[in-house]
Amino acid sequence: MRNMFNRVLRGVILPVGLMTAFPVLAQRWEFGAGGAGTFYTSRDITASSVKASTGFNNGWGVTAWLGNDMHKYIGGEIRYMYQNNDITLEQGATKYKFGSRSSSIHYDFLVHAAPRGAKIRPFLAFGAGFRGYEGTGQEVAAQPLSKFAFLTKTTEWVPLVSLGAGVKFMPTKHFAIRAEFRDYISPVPTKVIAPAPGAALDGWFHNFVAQLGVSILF
Amino acid sequence: MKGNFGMRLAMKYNKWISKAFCAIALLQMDKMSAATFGKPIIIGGQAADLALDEGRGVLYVANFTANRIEVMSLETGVIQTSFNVSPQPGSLAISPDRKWLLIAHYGNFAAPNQPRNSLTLINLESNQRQSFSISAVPLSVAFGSDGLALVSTSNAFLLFDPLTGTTRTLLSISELALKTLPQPTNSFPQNIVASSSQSTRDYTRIYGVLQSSTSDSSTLFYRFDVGQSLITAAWTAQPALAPRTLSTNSNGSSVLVGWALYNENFTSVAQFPNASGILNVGGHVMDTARGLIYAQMNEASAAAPTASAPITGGTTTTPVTPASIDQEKILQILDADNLTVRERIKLPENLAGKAILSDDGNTMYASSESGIMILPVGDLYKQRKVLPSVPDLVFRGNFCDRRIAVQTFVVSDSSGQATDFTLTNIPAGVSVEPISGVTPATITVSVDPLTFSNTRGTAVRYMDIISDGSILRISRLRLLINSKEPDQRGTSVNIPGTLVDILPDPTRDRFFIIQQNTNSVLVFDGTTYQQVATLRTGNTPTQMAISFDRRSLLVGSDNSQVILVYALDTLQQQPSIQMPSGHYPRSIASSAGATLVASRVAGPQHKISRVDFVSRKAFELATLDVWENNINVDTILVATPNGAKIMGASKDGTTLLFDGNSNSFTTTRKDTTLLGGGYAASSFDQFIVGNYLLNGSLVPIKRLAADTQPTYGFSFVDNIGFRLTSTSADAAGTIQRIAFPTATAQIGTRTVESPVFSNLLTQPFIRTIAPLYSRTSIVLLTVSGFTVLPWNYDAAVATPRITKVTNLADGTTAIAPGSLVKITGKDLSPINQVTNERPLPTALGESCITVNGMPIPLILVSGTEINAQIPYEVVGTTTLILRNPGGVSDNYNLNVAATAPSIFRTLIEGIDGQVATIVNGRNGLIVTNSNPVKRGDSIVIYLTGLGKTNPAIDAGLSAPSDPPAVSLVTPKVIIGGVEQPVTFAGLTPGEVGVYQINAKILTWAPTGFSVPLTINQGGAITTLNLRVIE
Repeated sequence: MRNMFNRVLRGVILPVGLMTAFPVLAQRWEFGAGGAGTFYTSRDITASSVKASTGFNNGWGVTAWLGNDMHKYIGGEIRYMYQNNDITLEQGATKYKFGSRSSSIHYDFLVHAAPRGAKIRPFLAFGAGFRGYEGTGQEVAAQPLSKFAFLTKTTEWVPLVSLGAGVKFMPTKHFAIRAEFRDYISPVPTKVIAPAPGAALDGWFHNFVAQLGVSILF
Repeated sequence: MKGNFGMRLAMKYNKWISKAFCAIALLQMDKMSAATFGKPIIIGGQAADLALDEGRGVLYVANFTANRIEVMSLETGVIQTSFNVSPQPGSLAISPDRKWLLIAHYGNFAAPNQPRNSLTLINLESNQRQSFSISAVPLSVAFGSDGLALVSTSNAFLLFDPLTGTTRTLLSISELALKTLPQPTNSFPQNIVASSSQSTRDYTRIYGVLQSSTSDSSTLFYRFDVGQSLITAAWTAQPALAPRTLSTNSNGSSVLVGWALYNENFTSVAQFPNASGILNVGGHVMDTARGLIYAQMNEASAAAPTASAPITGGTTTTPVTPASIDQEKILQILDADNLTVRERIKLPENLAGKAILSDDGNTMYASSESGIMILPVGDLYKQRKVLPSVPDLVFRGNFCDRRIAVQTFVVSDSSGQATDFTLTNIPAGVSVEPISGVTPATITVSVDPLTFSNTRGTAVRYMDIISDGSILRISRLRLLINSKEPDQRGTSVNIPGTLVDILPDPTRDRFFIIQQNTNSVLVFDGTTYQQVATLRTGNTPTQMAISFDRRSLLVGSDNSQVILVYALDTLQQQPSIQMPSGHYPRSIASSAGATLVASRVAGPQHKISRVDFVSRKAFELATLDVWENNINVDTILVATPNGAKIMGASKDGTTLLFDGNSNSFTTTRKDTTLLGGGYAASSFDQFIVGNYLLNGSLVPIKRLAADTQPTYGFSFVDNIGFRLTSTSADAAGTIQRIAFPTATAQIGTRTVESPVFSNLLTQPFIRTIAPLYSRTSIVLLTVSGFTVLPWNYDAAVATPRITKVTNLADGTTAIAPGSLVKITGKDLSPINQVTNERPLPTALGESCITVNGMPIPLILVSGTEINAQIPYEVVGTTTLILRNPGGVSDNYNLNVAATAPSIFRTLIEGIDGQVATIVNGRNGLIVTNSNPVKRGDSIVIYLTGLGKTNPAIDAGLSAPSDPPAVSLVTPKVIIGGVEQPVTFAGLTPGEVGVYQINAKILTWAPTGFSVPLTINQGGAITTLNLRVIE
């Protein structure tokens, strides 16, 4: 009972203590936002021994994150990312595009090469989360390449693995500029890119994202 | 007790209540009786001219006989003041700055009286007046934009400066012999002064017409471009150019003088047919913004004009018949380009000369018998106008169906008001219900086929709609009642109006028909027989021709002095060809060497002219080489298909031949005193006029038939000829194939109706056969429109054979009452035809079908397929029989279930095979794998076979929308085993035999690529798969 009380008390007092320690400690919290250019790998779809490829066009994204340096070199952050990339379905000279966007939420661990408080801190990131793909294109009665897949106006959530590296540059005590590169790995959303009956589509998409952002440290 | 008291009170006063209602009704009737348009203002004299001063809100009226200028308030329509002026104010005009009012006094008194010719100038700002005596008789005055007034007098055109009171002579003319005063009683200013002038709205141009002698027929017409030139032209017109007034459009490019419409070059582009020539009755004004003319044009008596009517020479004529002023007073609303009549409106009294339109175009002020008439033309759309919804009611009887035929139409008031109407002159054998009432009303017309059983063609009858409350003249409805026998070939298509010529396009699969009453050429597709364009013509178009280069369609007319030209590639109008003055191009033919025109000429002799396409003018030929250029007024020309020759034929028996290679007339003959009927020219030097076959020298070499079997149409196709005849307009037609050069005739084939007849009085020659370019069909001009015959109409026709009957939706044999069905087989119809008629006809393309003896509505017929609707009364085991000219099919036994839902299939580009016609409410697209159903969506499933409905609908009729027809047995919609809510199941409004089920997709409906959709209606089930997503 006493242990439990102590745990609760620590749970309340610790954050308060951290807050009150701002003036004297190096900054441990980070809130930031940025923009991104995003690129996808494609996947093959096979129907009757004929191959087509599907994927996403190059696009753009915006992101926001809240991070915490739990250790001198190790931190963690939760991140939201919105991306806008048209889905593509391509076979030979025929290419069909369908509007799409995605929303991702994931948590990453950050391993820094420099200690907290350094002006430049390179880091490696890895984590996981979920991504919601949403087809937003104009529906038509007959899509091209429909023997391979149907690009569908619906939403589908899939798991997401995040790997990346970057660097934080802190010109002032409370301000940082971040540049990083990520590879988001997610399974093919087969409800949004629905393979036609008899067609085979599986595997994972790699979504490479080059991000540039700013954050405040507190 | 209280109730009894009330009853007793009501009974006690019942008599008085009834009387009160009667009185109210009578008052209402009196209010509504004989409605007319326009309000006459009595001036106590005779109005000679008008001038509108909208800035001051007044209309100045020259009261010729009371020697006054009446000033009428535009706001109240009351003569608010008047001022006395010198005697006989015959013309007046207001200056552009509205400062000056100039009045011309017609004082042409004969000895021993002294002439009293003068001008009065009134300063409207200071009310000062000045009088100017002049020696000549002032006929009309009009101001120009330079502030000077053009004064037309008996010997000169003067320019009068109101600032200085001086005049200068613009042009001297020979002294006009005018009517002197006094004149006999019953003479009016329009008879005495008989002159008028009018400035354009911007005062830059003035048009005028003067009486140039004591004869009403002689006129001097002029155009004065202000500050520039004055152009005059002497005109002799028979009948006289009347009413003696003119009106111009806003920029002066068009002017209507009496009954003739001219362009600025004095070319008569159109004229009123059959004008009476009475100077003092009628009037008109042009409404440029609306493209209309409002005109009262007194017409000669209804007797048809005779071809030999006396023509007195000059440059402009219209057929002459004895004039009558004892006729209806009608304001015509006409198109401003070719005088096509849109509406005929009853007037309270005759107009009498000048008319002016207000600046906003909403009010017409016109001289009238009592003085002035105010006509709120901008409010015409608010007036009560009772009209039938269709011009023709067509009853197509057939050998399957000898029951009483029923059609409906609606009598309505275009203003939306409730207006009385009565149907009159109902023909024998026709019954109408109701016979009178108040608009809007649906009228049911029933025709007893027994009454028309002796007519094998189309009987044409008329029925009138009269209305006291309507301002329109009597509306006439044409009834076309056809009763044909199985051997009668062809399918007729209704075209309302007066059809006078038909011509196939020589290089495209289409054909042209002249609809004379609308002054237009209708263009039809030769595959679908649907109208694809309407080409406007001159007034009273008579005949068409194709130019030798096959690029242009030329259209001649009887009341325009131009040939209308249309490019055949684009159907766009090209510059017209101007005829010599006074020439009305009735007939045109184009050969390799020349394009010739046979014209009615306003003169003693009628002429042949030659067209110069470069200058866009036709020139009268001085001679026809060794013969005089003097032809009968009723002369037709026709070119051989190879363009080598043009043959002419006249009603008086004369024939002539123009050789396009030698560019000369090579033959004329007169072997008979009367010719008429069909005409044609072959590329092999053979010609047809009526029943005569003429050789290359126009020598009659054979009579095709006795005079009792006149030829009403003939056409050559290579060495074959088609001849069309009939014994009477109500009878069947007969088409005969004739082999040349021997002219060996085959036995004739009866057609569904008679050709349009030629008429010795109004149209001695006629064309009624158009073999189409594709040689798939022959189109005939027939009494109800046109009739389509297959090219091999006379080939032996095989007996029809039915092999299968399925529903039209999914192709299965599930069929219910009201189902649309597809009948497949062999020799089902000799012609392909689809109909848009509603209700659907029970005979189409010469085929008809009965189910248990009951004729069924048809949608499409072809040799191998017929689409039709099963009647709602039919259920159980039934027998289906097809009849066509080939005979009667064997019985086909068909099982009709109470319900048999079948979803329509449709083809979508990009998808192999057919897809179900299910529309996604989310985006209005057909549901497919690319456009799947989503949970929460609404869908509409289109199908047939849902059986009887409430309210019950007759087969062939479009389904109603308010209330919609709901299926008696509600179907269930099940998706993946989950029943979905149905919000409506019944007939699709406006469609025939097409049902729809509106359903909502539940949010827990199963998802997947192939989720079964099942429709279960009373145990009748249909299933298909569709894609459902979250």
